[in-house]
Amino acid sequence: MQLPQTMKMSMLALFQAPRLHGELTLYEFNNEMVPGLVYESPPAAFRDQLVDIPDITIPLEAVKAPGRVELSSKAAFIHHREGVWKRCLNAWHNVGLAGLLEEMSNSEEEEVPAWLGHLARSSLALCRLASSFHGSLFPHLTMKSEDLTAEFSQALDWTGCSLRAFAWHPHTNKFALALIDDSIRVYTSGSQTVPTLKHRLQKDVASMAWKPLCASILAVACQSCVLVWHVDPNSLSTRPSSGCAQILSYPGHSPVTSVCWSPSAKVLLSASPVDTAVLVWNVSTESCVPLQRVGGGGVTFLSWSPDGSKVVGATPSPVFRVWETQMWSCERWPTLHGRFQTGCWSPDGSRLLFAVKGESVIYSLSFSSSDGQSKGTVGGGQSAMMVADVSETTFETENGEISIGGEIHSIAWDPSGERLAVIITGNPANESSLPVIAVFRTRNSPMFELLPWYVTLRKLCVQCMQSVRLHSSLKAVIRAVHGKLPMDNDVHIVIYYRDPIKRLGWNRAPDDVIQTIVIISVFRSLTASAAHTDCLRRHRQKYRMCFYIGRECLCVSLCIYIYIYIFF
Amino acid sequence: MCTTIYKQSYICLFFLCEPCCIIMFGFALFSFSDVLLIVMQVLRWRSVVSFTWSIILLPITSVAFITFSRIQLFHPIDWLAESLGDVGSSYALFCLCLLCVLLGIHCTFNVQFYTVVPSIPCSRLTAIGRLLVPNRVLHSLAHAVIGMIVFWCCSIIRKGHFQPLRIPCTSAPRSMYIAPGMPLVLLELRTCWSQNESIVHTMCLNEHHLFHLLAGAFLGFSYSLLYFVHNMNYLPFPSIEQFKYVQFRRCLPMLIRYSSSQSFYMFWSFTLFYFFLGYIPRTWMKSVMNLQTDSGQPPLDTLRGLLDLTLIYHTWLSGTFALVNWHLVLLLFRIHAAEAHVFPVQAVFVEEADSCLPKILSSNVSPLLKYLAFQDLALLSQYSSARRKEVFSLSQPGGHPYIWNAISKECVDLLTNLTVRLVAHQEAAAGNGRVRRSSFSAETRKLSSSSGTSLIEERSDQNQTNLPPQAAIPVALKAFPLLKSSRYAGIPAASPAANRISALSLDPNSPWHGSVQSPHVMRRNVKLWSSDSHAPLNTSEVCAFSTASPKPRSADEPNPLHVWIQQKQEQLKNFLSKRVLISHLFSKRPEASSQEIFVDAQIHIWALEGMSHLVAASFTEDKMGVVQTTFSTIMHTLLTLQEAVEKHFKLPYASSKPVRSPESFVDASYKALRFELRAALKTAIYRITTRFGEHLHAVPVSVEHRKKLQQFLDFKE
Repeated sequence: MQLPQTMKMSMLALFQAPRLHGELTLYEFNNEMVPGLVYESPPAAFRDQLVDIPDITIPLEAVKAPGRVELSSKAAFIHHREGVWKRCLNAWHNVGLAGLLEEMSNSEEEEVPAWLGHLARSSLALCRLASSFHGSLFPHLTMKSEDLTAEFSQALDWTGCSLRAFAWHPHTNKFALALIDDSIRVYTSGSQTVPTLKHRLQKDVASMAWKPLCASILAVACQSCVLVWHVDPNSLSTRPSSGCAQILSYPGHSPVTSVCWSPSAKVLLSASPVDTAVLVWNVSTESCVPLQRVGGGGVTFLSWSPDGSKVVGATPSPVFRVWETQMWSCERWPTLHGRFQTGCWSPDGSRLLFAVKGESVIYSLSFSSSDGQSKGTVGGGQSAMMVADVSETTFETENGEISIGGEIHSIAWDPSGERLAVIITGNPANESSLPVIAVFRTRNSPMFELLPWYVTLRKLCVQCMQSVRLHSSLKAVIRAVHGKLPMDNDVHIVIYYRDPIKRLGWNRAPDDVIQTIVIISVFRSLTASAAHTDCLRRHRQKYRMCFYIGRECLCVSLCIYIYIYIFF
Repeated sequence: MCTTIYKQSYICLFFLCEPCCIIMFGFALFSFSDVLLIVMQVLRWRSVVSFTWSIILLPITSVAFITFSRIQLFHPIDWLAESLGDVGSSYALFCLCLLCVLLGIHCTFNVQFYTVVPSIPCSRLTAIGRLLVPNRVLHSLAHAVIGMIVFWCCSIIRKGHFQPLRIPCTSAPRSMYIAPGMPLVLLELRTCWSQNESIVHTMCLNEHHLFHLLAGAFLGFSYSLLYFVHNMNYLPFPSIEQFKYVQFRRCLPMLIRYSSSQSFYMFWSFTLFYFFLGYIPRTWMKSVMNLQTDSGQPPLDTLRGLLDLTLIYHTWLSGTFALVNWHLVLLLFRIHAAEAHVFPVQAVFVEEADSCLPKILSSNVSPLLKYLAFQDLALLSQYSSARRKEVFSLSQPGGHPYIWNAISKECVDLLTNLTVRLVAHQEAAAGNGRVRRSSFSAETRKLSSSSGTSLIEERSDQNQTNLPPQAAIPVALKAFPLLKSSRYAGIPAASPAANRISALSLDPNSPWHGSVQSPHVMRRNVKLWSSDSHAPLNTSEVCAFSTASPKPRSADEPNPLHVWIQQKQEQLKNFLSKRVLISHLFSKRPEASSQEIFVDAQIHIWALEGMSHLVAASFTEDKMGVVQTTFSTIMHTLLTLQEAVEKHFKLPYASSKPVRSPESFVDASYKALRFELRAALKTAIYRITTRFGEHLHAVPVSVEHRKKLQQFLDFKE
């Protein structure tokens, strides 16, 4: 991939200067972004088009991280020393071969024969050596499960924020929030029922996706599996039972950090940073087809193009793949600096905008459209182009200098192709640097254009962002959720919406479906309570077995073989 | 490049296996219509290519087998050199040729026995009964023989020389053993022979070899049994399309794992078998070949004899080798046969007219061909706008949408057929066997149905002799306003549910009712009745869901003899059902009936996908409004089916998920096809409603369906 070195100036300097005082950017009206206090109502032209979304203010006390650190009720009982063989058997049951070896090597003198203890210790050491070698190739494999999720999630501050994932239904006014206590709440406009989804396996939610062409199905990427919830929209129950969830698990495929449905709703993709295969699930039969590719060390992020023809899959290494979805062949793209952080597709699936970790640049990669004639070709261009530079820039405001810009964390493109929203993380070294959402005006045809437009800013953190396409008959515009100013510790959701009446004169949709950008950002205070952080720290110390039975067997047999070969 | 390889190997091989091919496709030779020729072309080509590939892979598996069979851990260089030397030996080459022939026979069996519709037995007895069908017994016996020969080849390849069943004894017997039943002549012959030979060599039975050969036969036989029990002859169609090589590579580790574990289990059961019954073949062999027991070696039906590590390892390895080869043939055949085939939508020349998509969709020549056609329909509707344009095109002189009409009619017929089956099943389930209990209930049914139209009544009288009495198929479904299929003609009027459906479809409030403006539709309605009254009865459709044996119904008044026989039957049934073993065999798996209805749901799923994608695409691509002529029928069919499916899932056993088996070579996804169909149906309706949105209000449908559609529009379903 060739990168032009000409563009040096940050595009952010061309943006309108951000505002500071307690004002949120509420909506776009008359081709203007209108900031305001959250309790102000929008103009009359808007009001009759609003959809009634209940006020969402979730007090932090309600969403405290769960106290359960231990999985079993073992701690409640008095410790009883068992025989070594019984312990070994238990460990083998619970953890696998690694647990068995661990238990054997930790056993006291004369509990197991000396040669057996020696063998266990040496094979364990060899396993560790092998895994550390593997880990040196792919450093992320040595991380714990929760850290992996935090690292590769699309949420900006996954560990610190009470809100971890957000998913807007693609067709109707409904969304799901995943909170830090591992519960998911589903809000529907015009309905007072808020189903709360909880499941024994629903831990560390990294991403969620509603099934398109369906009213009720929500896929959740959890620590150990993918849960597929069936949330009946007609049900009045606020606590759907665990029986409403299908569990899709696959050995070696955990933690899951990304799920996405095909736009034709036929299959579900899931990805894990420790598994090199992308799994293609047929959800109704619960069977899956792994798409195995060597290299990369895992898959962290998946995004399906809106026309359903391509999927981009990011890996933890500086390489990403673009799959075409008819024959599932792929093109491999190495990047120069760092891994693929985030990306989004143009509405017609012909252009991919993406950002790379460690760089504050948006790249664009265009694809030639194939009309089902040539099977199995992805049709990517020769090289990726740099289209925007969002490196750090300083603004003069009435309150003094502020600086914005830095690495890009997440990108979302409006389904009409007219707005692009980008979450830019601040520079952590600089105190005055803050995370912001920058909004660009874009157009995709006849040629790609990207114009700087507006930066929204607040002294709170931006969590998730998603763009959706809504139908005009469904009252396209979503009201900002407010009522009172956000308290420090509460989760508030602020939804930006766009005026469908006054539109830019660029391109008009062919049918009566008016397309609207809805960018969602969630604000939360940066300082969490002390108890909260303490709880998090404890949570993180859970030990994670880095490798599982398949690899273990291989390692152990290899080591035994080498052992025998050398010593005889 | 791949295709050229195919072609070359095909040419070389075709001359060799020409007779084989003729046997393979013998079933297709009874008639030479054009469609059959296409079947033959497509199928012959695919199975020959898959067979070629398995022949190409055979040397590789053989080399692996030789390498593993003479494993020498501490002398790796010797090990590799020796095994490579063995590959080129004349024994090995001979065995390879023999194995090729065996694989050919195996492949022929695969082609003969494959099916696109899995068989689901209702009870254990049926499952056993299905294994006893003559050609399946033949399959099992043939596999026992093949297994024995493969194991014989294995022992030759492994040892590098011919290993006989009779070997000189290692320790000379102290006294001549004379079997009590041995004929005197033989004894004399034997003494003559031993006198002629200067050295006295007593020949002993090589029991290891006997064990090995019998294990082969056992393996072949049990492979064949499992082949039918696990429905391995079922051809699963993958949920995503992939290149053949990628599919093969993905399945290979699974195949090897499955083969080795199966080989281990089979070895284990064979060992048990031999431990208890091993003396029978041994004594028999000894008496037939006039051999001695080798006292130097322990007999193999003792624990000491069986705990021979070399024996265990070699038997297991040979079993794995055989199973890997057989499964490879099966896998390659599956991959090639289920590959998507592109049928032309429109015929350029008149000769090709029989091979284009609409013709094949409606043909009933080969189920596989029909499946491939529907698969192609689903793919073209999703991926190829050029081919969609052909579907929406009008015929050149005349301007009729023949292609779309043919395709949509076929899809609608298929889905309506499923609806009828579902309604009939619900009837049977709701009646809880009442319907099939006696002829009295049939009588009452007949009386109660007199409120139906006289036309239906008449026909039910005409046809009742042909029909099994328990086929409670609602004839009123025929009264669908736009149905023109002749398939459901002559089904006796039966059920309140069906009457309700007919009432529903003839809703007076519907804008369709009474105000049919289009003369086209009027004509169609007329055609419905006229064509139906002359249509021959297609009983095969009915048999698909009638479980009891079909027997002609007697005359209208209850025959006393008949009643008596029925009563006796009931008594016998009651008596038998109290015996534990018999009730175990006869007990029905409740899920099976539900699985059986959806057994061919794959084709319905494709029909739903294809049709919904085409309808959704017509919103922008259909310039002539071709789709709009049938839009109402399609919506009606989809919504009626949705209603029937939802009702079916309310039955107690239907919504229970089958236990999810871990990823394995045996495909059990057909057990969950009903869930897939349900999801596909909902998605299909949503696809149309989200695309058309408010315009759907202009489509004439009944009031019930309008309510349903509104729910779909509001995303409340």
